[in-house]
Amino acid sequence: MTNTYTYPQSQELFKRAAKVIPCGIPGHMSPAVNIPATAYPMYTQSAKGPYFYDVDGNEFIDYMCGYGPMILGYGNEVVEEASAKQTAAADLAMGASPRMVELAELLVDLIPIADWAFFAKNGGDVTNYATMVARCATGRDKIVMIQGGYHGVTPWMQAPGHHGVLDDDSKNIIRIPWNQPQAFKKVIEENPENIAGFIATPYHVPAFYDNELPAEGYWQEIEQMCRQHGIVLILDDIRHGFRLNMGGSNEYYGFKPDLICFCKAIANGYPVSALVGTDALKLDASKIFYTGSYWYQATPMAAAIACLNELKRLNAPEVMLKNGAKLFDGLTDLASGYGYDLKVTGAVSLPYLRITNDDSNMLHQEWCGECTRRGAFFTSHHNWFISTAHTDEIIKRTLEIADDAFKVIKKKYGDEY
Amino acid sequence: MMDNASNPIPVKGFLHLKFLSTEFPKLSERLEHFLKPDQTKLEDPEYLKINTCLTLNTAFRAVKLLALHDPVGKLCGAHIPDGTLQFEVLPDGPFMAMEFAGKEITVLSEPCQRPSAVMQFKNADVANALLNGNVDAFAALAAGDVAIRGKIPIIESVNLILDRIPVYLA
Repeated sequence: MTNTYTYPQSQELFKRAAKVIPCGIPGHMSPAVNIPATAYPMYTQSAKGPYFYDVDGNEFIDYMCGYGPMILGYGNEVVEEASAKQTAAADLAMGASPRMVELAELLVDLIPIADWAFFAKNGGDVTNYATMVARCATGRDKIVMIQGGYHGVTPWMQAPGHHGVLDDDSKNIIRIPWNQPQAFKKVIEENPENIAGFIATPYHVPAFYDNELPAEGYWQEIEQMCRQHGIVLILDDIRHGFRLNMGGSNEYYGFKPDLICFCKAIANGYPVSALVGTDALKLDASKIFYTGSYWYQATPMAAAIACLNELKRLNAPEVMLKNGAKLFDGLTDLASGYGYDLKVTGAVSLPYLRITNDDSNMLHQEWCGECTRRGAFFTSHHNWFISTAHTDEIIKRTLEIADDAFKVIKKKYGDEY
Repeated sequence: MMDNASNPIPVKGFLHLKFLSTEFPKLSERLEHFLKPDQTKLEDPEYLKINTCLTLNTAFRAVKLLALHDPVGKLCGAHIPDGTLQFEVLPDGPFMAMEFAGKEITVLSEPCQRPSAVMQFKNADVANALLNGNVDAFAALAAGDVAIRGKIPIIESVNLILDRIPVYLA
């Protein structure tokens, strides 16, 4: 059996943080979403390959990949070399970097629908920009999105009732259920000539719930309706991007959006996001003034070029889908041996997991906590991420940890579940 | 209401009823004493326990009303999955539970044997501070003073509705 971790240094740091930072650790890295919070580390000291090391010296195999950006392993040599070289030359200086041109050319070459690229920092920067482009191009107000869909934290992206969000912020947002083209059709009929854009992720990834793949023909039907009614089709590929297909996840599902938003895995952890689009929208994109203090940093762009080329060389999506299948087949088999049904939903390169024996999710939360305490960082609220650094050896070790954790919960609950 | 700026019930025509003109003001004053704490009062453990219990009861009943009638509360309530949410103040309670089934919401006074979601407070001090809005809930969760488990969307939605209560008391 593997020894279990404790987190005294993390907890000490958190006490200090709570005095000077709202929430202590705010946003998506908040320990509050990890259940039980006491089973999880809070502060990271270093990271290498598939591992990160917390301030207490505990080692974790990271199945969140820093919430997605890590795709080649932390500290990947190819990316780090490119980034160091660019930093030594110039990162943020007066004027745009040649790297920006090279990165745009690379994306236009890599992404079949792309005729141009625009760069920012975070995913929400480009999902917001995409809706502005859609409105500018169509002269219309409404944006249709999916109920439970996540596109960032700008007020229009958050549901009414959330703190700091006005009811009016959602005035021009229409939310429809996932996988229901007829709901989109109804919305178009109810808002004639007033839908600017439709935005969604390649498949539905709601937090705390099973992921849902697109139904057969779903995207094709949405695309057809967008074409028929002059609606801009926006793919939010921030979470899924480069884990299903190097040309955009739409290539995996066989449809052609007008705009695609990328971030997370694009630069293996360096801060850059991109909106790519078709030629028909280039002039409208150029009319919108949209910028930020650090959007011209050259180092992340150099890292993105290196990362994308390396992902292409490795045929990374295929590697991650293959390794993901190995890991999740192994985990479901293990679970089954203990009488548990471990349900894996979504693609195996970024799946959501849930032990279905307990509808409340408490058993699953406990298992994830026990795995984390033993060195496999598993979360219960969000989809996981696989990287090319999750090799056979790492998967083997993960399965050993998972087995130990299954033993613990089986001993505790017997046949209760 | 407690500052006499608004009426809790429509009083026109009812003021001649004896209860409303005699006992009710006394009851109201007594409730105000327990529901409107200050730091000095909260230093008394017995007062803190009663305040926590009453606040929790009031809040749960308010959640039901807001989820059914407040425009924003209805939006938040619409996303609550079926199940039972239990608040537990360790070590001895109070325990309060609320059951969500379709559009039906029932406040339960007895602890539930198998809740779908649990929000557990380390002790009465923590519960009281959180219910009275004196601590950062996320920080309390991370520190382990408050623990949550189970169907988190129930807890998330109920907390959003709880935060609508001050809108009506302002």
